[in-house]
Amino acid sequence: MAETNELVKLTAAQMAEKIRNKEVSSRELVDAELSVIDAAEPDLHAFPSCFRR
Amino acid sequence: MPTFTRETVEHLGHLAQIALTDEEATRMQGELNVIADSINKVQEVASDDVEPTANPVPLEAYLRPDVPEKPLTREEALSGAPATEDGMFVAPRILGGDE
Amino acid sequence: MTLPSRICTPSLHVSADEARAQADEFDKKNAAGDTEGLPELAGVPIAIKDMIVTKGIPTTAASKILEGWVPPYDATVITKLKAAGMPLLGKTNLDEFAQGSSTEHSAFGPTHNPWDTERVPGGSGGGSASAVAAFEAPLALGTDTGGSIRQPGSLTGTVGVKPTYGGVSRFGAIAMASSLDQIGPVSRNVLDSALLQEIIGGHDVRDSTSIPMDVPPIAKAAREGYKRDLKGVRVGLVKQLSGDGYQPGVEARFNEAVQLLQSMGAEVVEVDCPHIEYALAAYYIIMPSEVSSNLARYDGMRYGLRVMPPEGVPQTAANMMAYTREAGFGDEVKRRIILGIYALSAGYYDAWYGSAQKVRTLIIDDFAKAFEKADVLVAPTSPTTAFKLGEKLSDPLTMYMSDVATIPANMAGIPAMSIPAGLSDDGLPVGFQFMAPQKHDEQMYKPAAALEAALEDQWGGAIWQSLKTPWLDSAK
Repeated sequence: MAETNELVKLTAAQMAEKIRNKEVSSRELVDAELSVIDAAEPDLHAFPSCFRR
Repeated sequence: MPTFTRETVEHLGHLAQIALTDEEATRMQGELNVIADSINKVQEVASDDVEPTANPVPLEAYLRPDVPEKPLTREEALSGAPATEDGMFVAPRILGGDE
Repeated sequence: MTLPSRICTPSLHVSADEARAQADEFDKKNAAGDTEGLPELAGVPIAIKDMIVTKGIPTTAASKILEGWVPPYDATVITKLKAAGMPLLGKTNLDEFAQGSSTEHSAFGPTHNPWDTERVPGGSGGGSASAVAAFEAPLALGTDTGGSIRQPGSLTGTVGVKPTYGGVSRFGAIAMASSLDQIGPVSRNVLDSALLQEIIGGHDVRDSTSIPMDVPPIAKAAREGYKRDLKGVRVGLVKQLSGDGYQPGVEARFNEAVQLLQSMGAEVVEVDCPHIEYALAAYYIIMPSEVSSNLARYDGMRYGLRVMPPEGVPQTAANMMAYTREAGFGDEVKRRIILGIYALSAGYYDAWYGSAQKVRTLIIDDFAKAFEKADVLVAPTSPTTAFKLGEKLSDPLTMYMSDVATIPANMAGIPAMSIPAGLSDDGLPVGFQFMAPQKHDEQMYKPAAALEAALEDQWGGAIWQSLKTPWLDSAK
């Protein structure tokens, strides 16, 4: 989703400013990141799973 | 420095409390050379007039305020235990076997 | 006798429920206008290297020996992040017990570099670096003992910082080598790392090596740096950290970046730190020695894995410990424990560990002399760009060489950071390393921010614009 893409590419300071300005919520950021994690993890494996690959 | 002997590796495994397999002990004889080489190298400059450093950013020991803090509860402390009984950790027997 | 059940999250170490709950709680406060006094990054999500304990969220150090362990307490840095309302997205992958330079030694499988998934992201903190590089998180925490934050930063085109030793509390950081370990920020730009370090840093009575001082003014220094004026800043090129073993593309990007610093007014001098040649050797005595001591606690008694001896072997506590550690530790960890036990042997302790500690003094003195001539020292972060998975596994020594440029800063306790300096001829990221005097982290943040700004001017944007991100197109 285009919105997710734009949000997750922001720097942390930019995200923080949008939060302060009430343009985006912390929850929206978390949801956006979780959807990127879902999409990327099969290839990246940055968050380990308990079972050996 | 010579390659590590099999006896040395087995002794180190015993000290480290790791039940190394035969294959591991054999393999490690060669792998441990990195430390032998490192030891040789540091001896080149570690002369008697150099003081050793333990902590690179030395501090003077300080005390915290004498105010009680909240420790872990017994449940929290036991929460990761492989085996518990009556609020205690259960360990296998200490005595009664050779090594 | 009750045997507690093992808790093992069958899927990823992503703490989705906790993160959403934390975010909701912060949003309520924010809506009520109740966020007075919170840090600038309040509410921003963050991922945490699985070497830092998080209450209620499994923490494994990427080891089978802690598989399923759920800490009953939070590390100090986690307490601070929670107070800032920053949701914890999850625990990222690492080399087991932070021992490695590629994340290939994780008991749970390697992490892949987003720039080329057939390549490593570096290590030990490859998970945090990859997650941030791939936009899975804007921020992460890592730990750095010999380069484990900075080298993955270099290989993934991200920013990674190792603060002054003692600048960030190690309470709740799983100990690897106690005189070398530091927790530090991972981000996509210099200012973000500065803001994050200001949250997690500072004195903590629960860490007896924690420096009794406030975090230096690093965010201010970063903002100053963005003005791109380095007049009066003396930049020292460390003679020993270049040349043989450094890829031509790495050296080329490094030299171009030095010229850019000069063009912004910095004065560049060469500094000679002769004892840096001995840093790797001294590190491979000191680090395993401390590792062997710190990992003695994993004995199947109070937490973690317990494996009883096989039939026929006396079922004693000592045997249980030995079989537990044999089963629970990976090859690299076992190797380093054995090395450390050897270096600390009775009768040899002074000659070996003691000698390595003397080299440490000599390196600290070299840096102190260098800092009389320069305000900040610079070098490439890693001699190479990201190597292929499996490429360096057959000979531990070639892997150890990955950290030749990062180890000296840990030995001296000085702050150091890596920022992306561009792409090498192979299209892979190159890292540029800054080092500052102890307790003066701001002295590296200013030129680092200036360099980042100047490079992004040249590139027309951040380095990640060159990164292909197919997974973002499929994210919903």
